[in-house]
Amino acid sequence: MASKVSRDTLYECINAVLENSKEKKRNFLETVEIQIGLKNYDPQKDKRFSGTVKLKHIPRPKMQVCVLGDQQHCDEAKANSVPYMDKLAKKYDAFLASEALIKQIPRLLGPGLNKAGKFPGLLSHQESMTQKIDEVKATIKFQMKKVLCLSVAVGHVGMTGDELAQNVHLSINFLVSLLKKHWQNVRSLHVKSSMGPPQRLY
Amino acid sequence: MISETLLKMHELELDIDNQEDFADSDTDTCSPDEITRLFTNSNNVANCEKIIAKNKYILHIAATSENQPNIAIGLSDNTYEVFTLSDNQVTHLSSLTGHKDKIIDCRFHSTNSNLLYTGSSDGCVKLWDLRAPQKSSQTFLDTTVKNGEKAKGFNCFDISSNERLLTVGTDLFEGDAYLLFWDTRSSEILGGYWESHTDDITQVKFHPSDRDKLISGSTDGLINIYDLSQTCEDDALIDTLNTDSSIEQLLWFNEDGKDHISCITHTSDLQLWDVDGAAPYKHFNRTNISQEIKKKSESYVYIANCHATDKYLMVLAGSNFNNGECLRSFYIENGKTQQGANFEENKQRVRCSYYNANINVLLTGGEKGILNVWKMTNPSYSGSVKKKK
Repeated sequence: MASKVSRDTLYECINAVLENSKEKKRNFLETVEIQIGLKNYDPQKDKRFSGTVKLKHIPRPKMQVCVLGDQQHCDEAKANSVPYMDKLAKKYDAFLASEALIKQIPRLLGPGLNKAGKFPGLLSHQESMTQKIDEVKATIKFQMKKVLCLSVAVGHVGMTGDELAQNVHLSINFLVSLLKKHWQNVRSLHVKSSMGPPQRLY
Repeated sequence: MISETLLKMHELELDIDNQEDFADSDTDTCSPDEITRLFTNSNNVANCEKIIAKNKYILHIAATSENQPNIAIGLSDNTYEVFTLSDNQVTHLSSLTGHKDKIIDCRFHSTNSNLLYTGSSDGCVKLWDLRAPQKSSQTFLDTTVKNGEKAKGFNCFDISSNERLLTVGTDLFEGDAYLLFWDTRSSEILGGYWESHTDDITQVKFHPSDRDKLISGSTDGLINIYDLSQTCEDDALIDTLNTDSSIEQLLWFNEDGKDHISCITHTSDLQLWDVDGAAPYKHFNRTNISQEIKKKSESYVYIANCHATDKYLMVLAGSNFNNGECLRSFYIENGKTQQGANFEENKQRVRCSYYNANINVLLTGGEKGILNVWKMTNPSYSGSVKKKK
């Protein structure tokens, strides 16, 4: 089967999304999302459709990641002008923490970061800090609840057509592969920007 | 024809970044002979493929650990059926009806095989005495909910090792996801935690022997570890493990006297954690899982369940291809893997399973409403050459 969405359809739709957003400029950076409608799927008895997927290009460039670091990570953060602190901050979208710190967080802070939905990911000394931050920013979460459709942000209108095409393509392939009957479970597939009209991919 | 070829080429162009489109089929990565050599063939125990319900899914299985175990099965029509297995025969004992919504799990009392707990997302856990199965003998409800108010949707439950504490994990309810607690001797709710997760709690699992230790997992991706001897949630939360995914199933297992947690995610990954780890010490993604069960296509692979045996972690995985006939197992011991069984007679996608170590029998249930009873062969020790069947 491979993908049911041809490269031509994909580019046609993405270009239409970008055109529309150029014609009607908004005073914010519009998000580009895909909307997937399911069929032959029963939330009462089929497995949950939920998880994370890492995209090739960062869909949320404004996302702020803060490092809760040990001395070495704080020095590295300073060198890369990454915000860091040894205290909890409310203003960040996500956190990364050194191993020694991550284990202390529940005991020191209680469930505070859990409750904020921002429990840190692990930052090890084996990986590059900036690369890890980009990884966090490029990872999107999806979850379908009770209704048979799902919307996932995969980019923004400031991205090139190629970048968007790659993110859309990767997301679709991943999401469809999680469905037990693959494309037989897909009713419809659209791509749209925050304010623009949806373009039908499938 | 030409346009099809063109299409494929286009896709190939798009795929230069290693984004492989997935195939239309799924086959073994090696010859049938090789499969026979690598995997032991687990056979159905004679007469032990039982069609429980056509057009219904078997979603949950619980059983007792005796030599002639009782077996409870939860179906997609919100009912439970109870059977007994003796002399290789599965005999129906009773049907349990009364739950009004999707069933979430079932579990036998650890020392009394006549007592069965069943749960439903309708907001209650029921305790049944199988000697009088017409009516549940006790119902655990969120007693803080007043008449007419909406109740929290239950998602999972477990009972502590000493059978004294019942805990339930709920769906997100008005912004909070709850862990609720009851003393099993009383229907009155003891209290709850609602600060540690931000989304539906999909799993709660008490430690198999430490009655105060509990783990919970959620679609928010966190595994929380609690010490229930503490007086409040702030102090009870002793560790959080961030899986960066969405949690489907959790299991405690023990290796060399140390506690570990296995976690199956909704994206069919398997993560193995030390309780004091900051990252999983072993991570199997879908590609790894399909390699372990010798299947070509990672996009069809799914993990049915994990079971702890005294020496190994047994992983049941299969392929969604066609009707999900392919079901295999592999073992993990100290992070090393070894092929287990090939369940050649399997006919369905498996949704639940139970392993009885005493009689070395595995029960599986799935999307064709079939209950299978498999006689397992113990794996050979790691390092030694596997015996040919």
